Amino acid sequence: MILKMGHFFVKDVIFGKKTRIYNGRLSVNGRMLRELILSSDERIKEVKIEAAKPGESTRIVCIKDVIPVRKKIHGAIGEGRTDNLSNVVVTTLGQIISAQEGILDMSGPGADYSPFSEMINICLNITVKGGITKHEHEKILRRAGLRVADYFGEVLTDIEPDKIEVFDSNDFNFKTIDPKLPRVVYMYTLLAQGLLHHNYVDGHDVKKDGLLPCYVSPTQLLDGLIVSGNCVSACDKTTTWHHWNNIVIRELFKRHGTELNFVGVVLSSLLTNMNEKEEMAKKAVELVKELNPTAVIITKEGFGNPDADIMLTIELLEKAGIKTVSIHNEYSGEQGVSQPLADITTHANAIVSAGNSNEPITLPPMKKIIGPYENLTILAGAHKDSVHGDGSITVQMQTIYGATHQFGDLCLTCEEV
Amino acid sequence: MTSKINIIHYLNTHFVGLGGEEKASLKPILFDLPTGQNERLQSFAEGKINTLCVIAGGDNYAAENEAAAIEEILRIVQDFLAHPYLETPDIFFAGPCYKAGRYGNFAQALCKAVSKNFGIPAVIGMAGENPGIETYKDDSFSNKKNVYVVETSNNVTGTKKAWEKMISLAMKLVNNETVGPKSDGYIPRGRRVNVFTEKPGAERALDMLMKKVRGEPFETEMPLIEIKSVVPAPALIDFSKAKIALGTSGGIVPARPILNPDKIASSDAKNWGMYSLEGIDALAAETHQSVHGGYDQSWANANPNLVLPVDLMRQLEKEGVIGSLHNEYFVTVGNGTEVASAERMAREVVPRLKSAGVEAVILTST
Repeated sequence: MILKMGHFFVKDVIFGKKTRIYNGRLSVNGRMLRELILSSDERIKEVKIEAAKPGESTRIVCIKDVIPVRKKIHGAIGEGRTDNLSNVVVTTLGQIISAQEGILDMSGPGADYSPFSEMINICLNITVKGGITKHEHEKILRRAGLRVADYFGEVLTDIEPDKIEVFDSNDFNFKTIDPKLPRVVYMYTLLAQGLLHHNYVDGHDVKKDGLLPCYVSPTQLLDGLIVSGNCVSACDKTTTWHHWNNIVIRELFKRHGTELNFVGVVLSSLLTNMNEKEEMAKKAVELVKELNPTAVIITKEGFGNPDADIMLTIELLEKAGIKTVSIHNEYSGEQGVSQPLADITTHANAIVSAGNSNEPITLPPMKKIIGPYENLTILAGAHKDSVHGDGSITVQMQTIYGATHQFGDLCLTCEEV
Repeated sequence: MTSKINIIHYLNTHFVGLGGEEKASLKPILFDLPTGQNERLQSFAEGKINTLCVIAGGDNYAAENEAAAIEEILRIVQDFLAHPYLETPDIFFAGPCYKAGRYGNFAQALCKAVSKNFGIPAVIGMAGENPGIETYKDDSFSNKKNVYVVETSNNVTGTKKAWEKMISLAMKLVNNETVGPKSDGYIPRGRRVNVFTEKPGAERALDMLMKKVRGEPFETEMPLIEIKSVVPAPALIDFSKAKIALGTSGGIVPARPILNPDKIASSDAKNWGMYSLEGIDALAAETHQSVHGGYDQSWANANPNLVLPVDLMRQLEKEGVIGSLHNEYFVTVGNGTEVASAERMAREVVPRLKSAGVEAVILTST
């Protein structure tokens, strides 16, 4: 499949009469957008719409998901042309339901620990009506975010992108590739651990509908195959943005044909029972082996029990003579002296660390707060004394959106000193 | 920014020129002027180092009477510090000890004690093969957080290089500059900290993978850890008379009069709670809730017995299957929790259970 992706960068986001791109800026009709959200779901009581921009003294609290703004110009998923508003994202936020949302600072030291501080975040702060269950709450917010991202996507109609990227997976297994280059498979694992810890693949709930290990097209993955539905700690939550911009896939495409042959992606799920973990690892490895790879890169979602899935997989692959590398964040404690992972195998001799999620950081006060600030002290990685008198806060890396994400987006690692 | 640092220097008898093996039984002695190898270090440092005193010890005495020798040296340093007209040390030096085992082993123990007692950093020189390095590595970070071991040659041929490293690291430490094992040539101290890199993690991962494929040397960013295992206690054969306790890492806490009275954190919990089950036949949503931040607690909150099965335990108690259910349960949140905290909490909880006569515990996790 060949996917062409157009990228358009806006100079700014302003609120105006029409929602459109005008003079290189994204103009947003806030009133219409608000009506669209309120009329789309009668369970939504109120929505506050605000734009948070890079460099501003703004702290966003209790983020649920970050969604790219895209438009399918032509073709089916994974092929044809898709355009992308590269530096604008739709950021949904609302009341905390399970301690696992996070924060984003648009400037200051915290901004260095998130990919989203470099983007203009159109924040939808949504309040739902009374009597709504936690699961409904999350669903309402998720759908509202996707709907709004779609709505903004329309501004890309008839707009010439600043650059076009081409992702071509047609030659993966055929003649044009250099047979001397190592064959590399990407093993992409997703949390499938119940209503608040799961994802949607091609619209299917990976927990409810089940997801056996399978081959998926990397161009489809970049074109929006997976929507995030989980709420693990903010630092390592795979947002919808992460899925659609997966840096591992992009990097494999970049090196394809010169340094390695990118021969495919195996998608697998991370379940909770040990026998299921063993079963999934075994099945996924069987599929990987069918592609006759030299090496495999593995990424995971979440922490703690998923370490076991990855270690089982590494052991099976290495024993079969297939070289592995995996990306993990660590939970080495606030002092950095505790055990970094919950599980390990001696075969895991090549691990990239995406940073210690427990490391505390003090962030200065911000002039503007977006979102339910009263929830800050109960976020994962925060505690009752996290907010100081002057408005500064001390939280663990865990609390910062995308800080130690395990696709390896950021230039962060952990070193023994 | 200090350009000249005050040091106290520990050397063995050989390196102050008193003699080697024949003087190895000497107790620590004070030299209040630059002496032996220290004098050469001071001239090599070209004004960067000011030696306040040198303390020399016999290797055998130090090895055989480690605690006493450390005590004697601490007293010397203490007296020195108490003197009203003398300058105070910025840093403590030991060695280089090269490959000498007794020397290296004692030097690292001494430096930890000096640093802890007087709040100054300490720098030691030691060869990679020195047994003192293993002892140093095995110790916890909190004991050695201000003690740095610079790697040196096995013998005196590499002395100048060792001095260079020790002086440069000491200057940085005294001036509160950032130091690192790679840039400053010291042995990592067992503490992991976040650092920014040039390339994103995904690029580093593929670079590492390609090196691994090509058979080139590569360095993992997470060295293999040793997972500690716990030997289970012998099986309890007869439940019918046993007092059995419930414990959980699923975050079930009392919901009233206030929710979560001990404020157990939803993630990376540092504390545990122990709460009464007196007169409780089964938990209820009104009285108990989960504060765990790592799983969907909807069902646990609707029926807390799903995580902490008080209802079933009471039934077993009635049926006589178990002797009794202990009238308190303990709880923490197992979510991103440091293994070190978990170990500490276990050490705190277990004695309480034992003194209450609990014979077995059912642990539930989520």
